[in-house]
Amino acid sequence: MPLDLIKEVEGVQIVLVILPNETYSNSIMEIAKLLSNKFDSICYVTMNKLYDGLIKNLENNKVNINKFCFIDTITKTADPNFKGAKNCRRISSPSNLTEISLSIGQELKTRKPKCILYDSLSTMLFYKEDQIVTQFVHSLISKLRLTDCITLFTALEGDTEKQMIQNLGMLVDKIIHYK
Amino acid sequence: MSIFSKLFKKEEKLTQEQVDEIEEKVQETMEKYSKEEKLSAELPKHIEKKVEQGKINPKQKEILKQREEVHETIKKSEHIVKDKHVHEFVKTGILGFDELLEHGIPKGAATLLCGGPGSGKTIFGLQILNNAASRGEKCIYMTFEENEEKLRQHMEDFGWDWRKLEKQGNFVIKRYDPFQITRSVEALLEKAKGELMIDVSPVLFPEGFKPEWVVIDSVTAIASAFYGREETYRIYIEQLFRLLETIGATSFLITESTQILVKLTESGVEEFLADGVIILYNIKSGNVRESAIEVLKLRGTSFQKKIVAMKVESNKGIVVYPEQEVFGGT
Repeated sequence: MPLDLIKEVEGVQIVLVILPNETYSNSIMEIAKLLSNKFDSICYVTMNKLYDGLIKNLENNKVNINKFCFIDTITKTADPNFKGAKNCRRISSPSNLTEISLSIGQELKTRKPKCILYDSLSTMLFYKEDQIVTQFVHSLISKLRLTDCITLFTALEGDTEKQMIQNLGMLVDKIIHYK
Repeated sequence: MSIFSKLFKKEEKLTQEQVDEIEEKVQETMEKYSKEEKLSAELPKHIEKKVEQGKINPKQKEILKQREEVHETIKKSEHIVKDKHVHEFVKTGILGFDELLEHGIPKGAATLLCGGPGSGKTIFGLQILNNAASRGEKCIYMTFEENEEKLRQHMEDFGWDWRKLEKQGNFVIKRYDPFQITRSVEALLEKAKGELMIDVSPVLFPEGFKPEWVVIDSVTAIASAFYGREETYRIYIEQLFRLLETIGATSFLITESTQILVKLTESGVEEFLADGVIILYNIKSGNVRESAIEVLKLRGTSFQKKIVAMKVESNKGIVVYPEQEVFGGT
């Protein structure tokens, strides 16, 4: 029987979702769809897919993109002229954790999303050392706990042995293995 | 009625006893002044030692002695500065920055603005002046590096109307040749024949313009022009701080530091004389740089002792995020 993600996140606020490496792309779309069925306003932080490609993917999976706002950390690296979009904040680089944190803070103040999908911690580890990513997530979680916003951090199953992902066990309310 | 009062009343005659008493007091006073004069003529021990060891010549001895007096005056004036402005504070108007300070910047304080290349020092300075001039306060941006047009262009990029402010007479950008300053200071020193209490104001401010806010960009450029004449530079910089204090302007003195901060200024005298030190960081973070700001020192007010995020935003200029920590590094 498939995992009922929405039921799993009930009563908790900060969740780490472990995704299988092989089915990561499909899984993240499924999660986005589930969240859009449950919440009216979702903030999607993307470190993997460029804004345009992500929009297409979501639309192909029949996800209502009108419920989403985006924090795009990578398009500007590929296309410096990318100006963002009405529903998208652009970040200069996935390395710029301060800018990411600031943008999430600004979204929490302005659009007040009910849910954040953070895709993904595994990608962050390409750019930053374990310790800095842990500090960043710790600081971000403190900020999130001041709101009623539910946040799902995603990570690949292959990274569960990494110190940073193990440390996160202390910081999140629940770890879900999404199958 | 005292004896001295009687002296001025011609109609009253003094007794012999009173005359003796006056003479005694005059003698006491003369002895006191003679003692003070002797003390002032005495050389401080460390200078005396250098003379004895033949390390300095008579001219250098005289300069060191006078510098000693300058230092003493500065030390004495430090508490005056602290006490004088403690009840009056001014706001920079930079979004988020003033929240780092309990009350604001003490009015009349001289603050160093340190940072590496591209850290936002010039924008910070221009923005403060734009905000103050828009409130009707007199401001001058004294540039020793970039030309006026380039600075005006910077302001236009952020939508700051320098034309209006200049027309209102509240805002001036003035370019100085640091080498001209060097020559003028040396000429003044020569004219003053070793007297170090020179008046640097004629070489600085436009006639009749009494600024409430001053930005000097940069002290580093001035220091470079004094290369090889470090002693003269120190005299100049001390006089400059004294001048800023005298006119009561709230001032920001930009200093260029290395990207990785090792020391704030080359000579070290500026941070000693300044009331405050603000550091702008441009931290390498992977393939990008993150901006951050820190108030390192500010006499006369409490402030948040932490490094916080800062951004340069179009149409806004610098925005400081007092609650946002910085995650720079690899």
